Amino acid sequence: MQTTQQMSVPRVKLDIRDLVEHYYADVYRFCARRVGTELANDAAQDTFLSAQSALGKFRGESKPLTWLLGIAHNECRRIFRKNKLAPCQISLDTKGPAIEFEGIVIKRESLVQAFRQLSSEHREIVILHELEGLTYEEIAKVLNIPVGTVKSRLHHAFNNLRQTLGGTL
Amino acid sequence: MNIHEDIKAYLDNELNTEDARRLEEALQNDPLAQEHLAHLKAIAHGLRLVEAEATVKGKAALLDRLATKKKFYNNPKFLALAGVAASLLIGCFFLGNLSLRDADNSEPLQYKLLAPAAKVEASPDASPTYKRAPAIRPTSAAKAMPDSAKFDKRGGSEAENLSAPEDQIQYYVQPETPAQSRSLQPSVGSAAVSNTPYLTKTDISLDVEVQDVSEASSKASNIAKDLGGFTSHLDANSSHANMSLTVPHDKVDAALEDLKRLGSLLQLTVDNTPLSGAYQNNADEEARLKESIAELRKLVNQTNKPYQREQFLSEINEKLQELDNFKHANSGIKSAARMSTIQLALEKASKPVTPPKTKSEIEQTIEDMTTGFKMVLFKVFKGLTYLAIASPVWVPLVLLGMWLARASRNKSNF
Repeated sequence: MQTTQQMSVPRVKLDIRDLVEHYYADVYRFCARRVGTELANDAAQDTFLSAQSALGKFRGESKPLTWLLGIAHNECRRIFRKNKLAPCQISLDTKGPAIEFEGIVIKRESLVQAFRQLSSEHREIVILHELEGLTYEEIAKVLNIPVGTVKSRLHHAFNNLRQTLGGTL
Repeated sequence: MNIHEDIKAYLDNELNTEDARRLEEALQNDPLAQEHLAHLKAIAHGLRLVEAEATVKGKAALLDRLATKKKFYNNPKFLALAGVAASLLIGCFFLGNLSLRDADNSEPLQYKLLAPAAKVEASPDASPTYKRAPAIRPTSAAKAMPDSAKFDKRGGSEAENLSAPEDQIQYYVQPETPAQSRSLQPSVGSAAVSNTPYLTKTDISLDVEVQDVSEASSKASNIAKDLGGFTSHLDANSSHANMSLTVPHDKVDAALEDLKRLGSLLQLTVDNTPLSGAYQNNADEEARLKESIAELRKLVNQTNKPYQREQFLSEINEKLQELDNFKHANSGIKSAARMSTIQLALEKASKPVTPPKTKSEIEQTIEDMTTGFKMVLFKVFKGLTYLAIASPVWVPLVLLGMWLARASRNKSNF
């Protein structure tokens, strides 16, 4: 599980260069999972430039990373529209040995296939939780949806994954 | 509590303590739920492993871009806002500059608003009038007057032209307070004379250092002449000049202002001599003589003796002569109160002289600045008024523009 670096910053006053130093990698990966590695660079840079002009609006109600991912989420949606991309251009590795966890074996190809069959909303929320490591509340802030919706979507996304993988588990 | 719905939340530590405890108890007796939990754990673990590692790029480039921090005046939003504000201000000024003319006299409205005092002053009804005095006949009584009340013989030809009916003579109120004494404004009409004839004679002594004495004396004579007065005495040489200027009482302030500008002021003395007492004495004597003449005339009619009659008539003639003298004396006092004497001494300056700015010039400068500022404010206010009147036209357009801009921005973002 990837860990998110926490930065002790003042409640409201943020320095954009500090934000870049601490969170650029997280924002870049977040963007790469949505718009692909080719456009991730532009998306991440636009995210921080937007954040620079919106620093005064940051009220400190959430972690700086959560706030940045919210901006990145909007930037990625803008890039989807502009480049007419399908959401979630995450690159998954289908090659390699099967994954074994506590006696349960999952084929990589089957897992990737099952993930790609998810709806874009479910894929997005699975990425945010499992890969970005965000809590339900943080996901709710990034996507601007209720926490209950996050919980429900995750439940249905994993149910769908399990059903799709049913024969292979 | 639906176990299967909460298993994922339990797995993610998103359940509260109570719900987590209940779910753990339920899991003890539910093998299917236990299997479900194990599968979810395995899927979550697998998802984290199947992602290809992405190489982070562009961080250094971004830091370089942020290093060239934009100044606020390079911000397009700031420039747009400043442009709109400046356009609005300039537009208001030019809108306000449009001439609003009064339908009656085609005079620009701002002049009516800003210069009401000038309008009143220009009105013929309100303008102060200057009345000419009757001719002066020097008498023995007049000779008994104070020197300051005497009328110079050299001004006789000028004074004789200053004739007017008695009831139109303009007299001057004796100043009662220091504040009033600074003002030399006249009281107009005969009413002031008939009841309380406060009369005063103003004598002014003025020493001025000038560059060119002859030129300055010529200018001083012209100043007196232009104000309706005259030069009663002039004794001048190349380095010094003594002048006596006689000017109407109500023009003394103006004369002083102009004379001060001849050069550098050395000394100024203003002496107000009250003449009311002498005037009242003469008037009392007149009344006494009139009573006496009336009594003598009665005696003339009553007596049968010719020598007594002749004696009474002789006395009447003497008293009439005295009465005439007192009348002329009071007439002289009135004339003396009407005119003021300025003793002007001009000294040649050894250094170049710069005439100081007079009080009126300073006041005029301040007034000009104030009027200019008022005009700008008035034009801006007028422009704003035009904008307000035209708001039904431009406000919907602005709102439409804002709505379109917002719609365009939303479209590009999502």
